[in-house]
Amino acid sequence: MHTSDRTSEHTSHRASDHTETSTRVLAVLEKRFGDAARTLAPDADLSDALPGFDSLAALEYVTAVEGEFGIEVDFVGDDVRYWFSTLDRTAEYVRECVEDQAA
Amino acid sequence: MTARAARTAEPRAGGRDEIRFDTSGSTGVARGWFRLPHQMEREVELIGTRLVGQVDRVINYAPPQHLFGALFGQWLPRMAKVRVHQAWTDPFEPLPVRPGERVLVVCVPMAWDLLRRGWPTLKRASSVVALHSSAAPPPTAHALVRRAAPLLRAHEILGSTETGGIAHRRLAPEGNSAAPWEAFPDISFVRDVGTPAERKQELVVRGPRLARPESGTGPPAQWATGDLVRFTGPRTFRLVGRGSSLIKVNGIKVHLARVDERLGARLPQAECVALPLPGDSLAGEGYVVLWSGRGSGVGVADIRAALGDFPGPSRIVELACIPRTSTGKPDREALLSAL
Repeated sequence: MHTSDRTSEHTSHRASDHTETSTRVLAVLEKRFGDAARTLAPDADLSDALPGFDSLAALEYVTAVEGEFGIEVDFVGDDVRYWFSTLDRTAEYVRECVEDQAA
Repeated sequence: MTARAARTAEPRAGGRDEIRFDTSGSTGVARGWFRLPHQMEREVELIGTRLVGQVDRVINYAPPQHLFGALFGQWLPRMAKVRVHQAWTDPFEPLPVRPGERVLVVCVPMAWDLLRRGWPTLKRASSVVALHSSAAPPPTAHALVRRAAPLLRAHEILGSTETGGIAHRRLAPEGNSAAPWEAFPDISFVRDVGTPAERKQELVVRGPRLARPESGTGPPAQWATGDLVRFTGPRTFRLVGRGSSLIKVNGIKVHLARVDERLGARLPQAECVALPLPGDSLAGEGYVVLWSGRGSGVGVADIRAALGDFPGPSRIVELACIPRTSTGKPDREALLSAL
């Protein structure tokens, strides 16, 4: 296999992981926010897009994501407000967290 | 903080004006309660002296538009001249604790999970006192007290906007829902003469820190709290429940009857019933909305939108139909068994 094939396969694998992670993150949000989460744009700010997404709901969201993926979010070292502000960013954070755990 | 520090505190700018706090009234409309500065100072002095002691920094998770947050997140730091971090404005902000500081944390239920996560920072303090008020502490609170004692000690305060602090008890590592509460020294109880001590009764209090209702010219002589208690001694009691459908979600009062009314008015095409759900892992107490509206076009998002500024339910559960008793009331047992 050429290097470019391996790169292509790796890229495709990462894209597939990202889609699966996004789907599972969305499912976490849907459980709590129902239809409003289902129609959420990947880069929409959750506190603007979801009615009732206050600080308690944000904490519940982080906790639920931790439970879903078996990860521990670092509130001190990481910028939780940034990484959990949109669906896309959350999925990216989770994917990197899971990769770090696997390394 | 000490009594001396409280007495020597600077007077507030703006003179001796009353301070307004709002609660949701029995009709769902906000009701104003007015408290005098000397009542605020007295409460800070009382609880500061008895439970808190000297502190160098306050971390406040309770919004100051509520009495608890105003007392310990604004008045106490001002009176004791100590730094305060208003953590309620951004609960994810890292905690600013310097090594060796004596820290007071003003807690709503949600704060405990944040304290657990921030403990590596907090444990640099020389002591941490947590005050927790007016809502059941979540399991994380007991677990953290268990793990972090003796550096951390925590006190629960029973009180309300109408009464101020009524009583207190230590927050125990093993959970202490049945432990007795001890009244603050300026509070007295009103109960029927000759009532057997073991009988359940409503807690009715008197004291100098009762608030003036919007409709009154002064504070009432006594106040019925809605809490049901059994007295265990002259100034101690156990809480055995609430006489109303009141719960406190993350410290905010929610009348479940009002939730039912709101949902009934805004979503007449669905049947909705709100029931208390004790032991919410983050909010302390919570509630569930069970609903039925198949084919009505109503969804979970509509229920959340209809609730507006009510604190959100822990769960929203759809059922094929709402079970009812022979008198037509929602069958609570059948509903809870559906969870």
